[in-house]
Amino acid sequence: MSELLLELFSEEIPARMQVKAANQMLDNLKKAIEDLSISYDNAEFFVTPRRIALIIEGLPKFLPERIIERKGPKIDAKPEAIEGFLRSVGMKIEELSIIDNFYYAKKLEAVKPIGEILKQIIETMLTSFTWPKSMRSAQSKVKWIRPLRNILCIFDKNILPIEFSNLKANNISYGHRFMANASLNISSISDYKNKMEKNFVILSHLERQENIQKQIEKITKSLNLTPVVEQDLLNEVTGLVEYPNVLLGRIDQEFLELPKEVLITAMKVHQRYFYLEEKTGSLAPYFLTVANVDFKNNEQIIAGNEKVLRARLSDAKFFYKKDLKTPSSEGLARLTKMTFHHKLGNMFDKVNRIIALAEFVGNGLFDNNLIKKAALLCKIDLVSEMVGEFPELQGIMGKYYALHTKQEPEVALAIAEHYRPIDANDIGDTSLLGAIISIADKLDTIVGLWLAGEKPSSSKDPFALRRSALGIIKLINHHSLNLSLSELIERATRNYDSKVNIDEILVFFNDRLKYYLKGEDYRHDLIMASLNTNSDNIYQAISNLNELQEFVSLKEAEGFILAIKRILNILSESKSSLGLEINKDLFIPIEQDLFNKIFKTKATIQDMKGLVNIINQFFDEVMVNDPDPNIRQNRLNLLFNIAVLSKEIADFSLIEI
Amino acid sequence: MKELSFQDIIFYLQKFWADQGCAILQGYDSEVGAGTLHPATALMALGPKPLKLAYVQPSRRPKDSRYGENPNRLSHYYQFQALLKPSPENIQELALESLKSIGIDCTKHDIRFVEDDWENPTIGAWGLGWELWCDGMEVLQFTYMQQIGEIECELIPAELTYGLERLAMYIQNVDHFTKIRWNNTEPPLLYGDLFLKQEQETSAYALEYADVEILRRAFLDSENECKNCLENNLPLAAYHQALKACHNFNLLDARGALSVTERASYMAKVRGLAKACCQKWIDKQ
Repeated sequence: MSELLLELFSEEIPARMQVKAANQMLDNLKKAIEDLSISYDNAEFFVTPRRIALIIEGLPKFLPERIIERKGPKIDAKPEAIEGFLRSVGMKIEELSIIDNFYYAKKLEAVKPIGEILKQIIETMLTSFTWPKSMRSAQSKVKWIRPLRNILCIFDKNILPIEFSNLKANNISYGHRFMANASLNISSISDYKNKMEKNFVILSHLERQENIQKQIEKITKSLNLTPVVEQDLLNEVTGLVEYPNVLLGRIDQEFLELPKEVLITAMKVHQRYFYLEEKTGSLAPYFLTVANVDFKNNEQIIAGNEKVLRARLSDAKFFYKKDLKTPSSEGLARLTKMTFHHKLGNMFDKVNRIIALAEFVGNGLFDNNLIKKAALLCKIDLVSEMVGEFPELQGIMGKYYALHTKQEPEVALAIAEHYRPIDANDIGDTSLLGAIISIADKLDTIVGLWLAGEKPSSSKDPFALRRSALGIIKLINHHSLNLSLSELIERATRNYDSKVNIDEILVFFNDRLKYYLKGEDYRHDLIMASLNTNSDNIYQAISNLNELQEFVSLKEAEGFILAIKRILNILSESKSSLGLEINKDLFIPIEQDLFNKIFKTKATIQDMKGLVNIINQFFDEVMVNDPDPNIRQNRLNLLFNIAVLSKEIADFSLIEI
Repeated sequence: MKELSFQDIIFYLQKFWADQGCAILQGYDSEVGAGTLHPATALMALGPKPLKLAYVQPSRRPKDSRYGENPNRLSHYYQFQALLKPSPENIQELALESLKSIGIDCTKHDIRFVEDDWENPTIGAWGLGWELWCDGMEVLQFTYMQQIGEIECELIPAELTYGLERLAMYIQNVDHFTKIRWNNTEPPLLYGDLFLKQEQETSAYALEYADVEILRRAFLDSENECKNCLENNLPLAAYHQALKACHNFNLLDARGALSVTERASYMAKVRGLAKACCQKWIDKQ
């Protein structure tokens, strides 16, 4: 049995792309090998910032003799087509076989060395591989993520001379950039693994990640602190190092008076450090950085990192102190100088609209004074120094500044929350006041930009109005807010002294609602059936869908849905115009019974499902298509009464059984 | 090694890159937002002729005006830029050696290459590369340029940009740009002694006093002059006017005079000019 080792040695690959790319390459390679029915025992990938290594073990040395079959044209195809096929396979017509009126060329292929096949497969795999972002280099026109510097490829103990980009494979690799940067001759997979280990390269992403976690654990245990290790950051730092070395740095006490989020943003987002918490949950005066080197003395590296963080935090402290000294009246005045949109006035105008709209949204739900206060102050931090430098802290800083000026805690919290939901994972579980302000802000943006002619197109949504609408939907759903969308839109429009096509915005919201519900694991057909008309009340629409989805999972549902579908079918096939008026004189007894029941039935699933037996009995006893056109019309109208009721629940014709 | 002064950092970087065969130029004599906009990069990085250059580019970003109060944000600052076209195969190693020449030794520090792609939409340019981090501090911006003026680079250049104030603050361990030691006299001349007043005045101008109507007219004038030069097949002269238009746009932007859509339309105009200059420059080669 033989083994394959391929290493693509390059300049630093972005951390976020490493694992995905290596995994994809290995999959592509495996698939190509399996397509030729070549067997192997084990296939694995390794990835570090500077290399992607693929290994396949237990490969045969030769591909045995085999018959290759190629399908050709039909036997009655034009002579040119048949001649073309003969040329392409290099055979004579009498050598072809015929199956089901098609020519087939069967050829015996001789024993072939696997190496030859692998060379071709690997070259094809590399040529067809695409990166999410790629570049040309001075050395090669072939697009790759960053310049490729060397290819090592060994099959069955020999160099497999694949050619790609400007390179031809050899048996050379390199150790860690700073700790062992000599070239290494590699003879096999085990030799490769050994030499990498000795030369300060931990090949496996997972192993490096575990290594980092262990080091973190060891350091924090002795300090009796809890590290906050988020998977995204852990993945990223794992992709920035070949030889992880976790180092502990200190934060000067003077910075701990800053809002926690400021420290966390500086550490996590700007510096890619892990932060630590005391057992009480408060921020500890330490950070962890993952260095790519381990020298005898790492003090200089630690001191350097501390210095960088100190500089960032002293900037932050400078901004924070300045902001605390700025009275909110000055902040509000500065909002008048900040444009919201050139047709829609400045940010202070927007704040005034948010106040009016929030009062409307929150009418009867929350203390009006607090609504007004939170709305007034919600944008004030946009003109603060801190948000100018740390834009990701908008809202959060507003909260701290509100607390500083002794606003109510609910008000402060709502200011922080009114940008939520912030991402796909945020379900909108804010405080109620936060939801009210958020809905008012987002709706004002949607309606305003609609009026300014900036509504989203299929390809462009520069103001992220779709995301705003989705946010409103999540908030309404989470807080079970019984609100009429059209009334909200109308109120928002009045703030602009203008008129807008409300139906158009309702359609827009309903598209978003469908999109949202699909993501929430509702059945697609039920969404389409339930939202067949534009819902004015999102909360109600979702409740109805919940009820429908629950109902269809019951045993009794199928009979009911089939009965309604049957009615809808008959009605859609009938050519006469339908109405609700009934002539009781034309009834036979079963029709009278059905009629009586219908008029006691409300448009709810619970009520309507009681009709199923009598509908079925009706169909058993009655022929709708009576020869007498009056009787026929009367029966169709009777069914139409049921259809109209059912439409209020859902369009049952769209439900799949 | 003794702590380097601001001017030492420039001297050492110039010496290092000169030794690599780079011609040492001076900064361009018109307002630019970054070293990339120097025609020696923005135009000459295009086309088939190899080129190696380095220079200090005084740069202006009116939007970063902070009256000299912000510790490290200035409306007028200095970039050191090296351009190697085509980028040699050992360019990463050269970048690390250049850091060593200013006292940042990769055998003592934790140096990492962190993904950072570069884009300048005002001139339709982009490239892929990294920030080099030294013990968590960004010390160098490294870009393989791919397009300028929306034109593909023929020989892919490497562009290395050093933010001199940040580097100096790091090397000298000071917490405000005004405290950077400019030279080695005793007592030394400080950055603040030289430029704080300028920073205060240019900030006040950009944020409070710049006359919006005059700037709009000036933009239009430069735009027209740029087109005039282009019509007469003078791409370098045209580019000079495009930079003037660009700076006037930056001032208008800092002054808060532009709405979102207006801003986008100004940017599109500048990009159009830059693109035309690049194209004409290539055609003329």
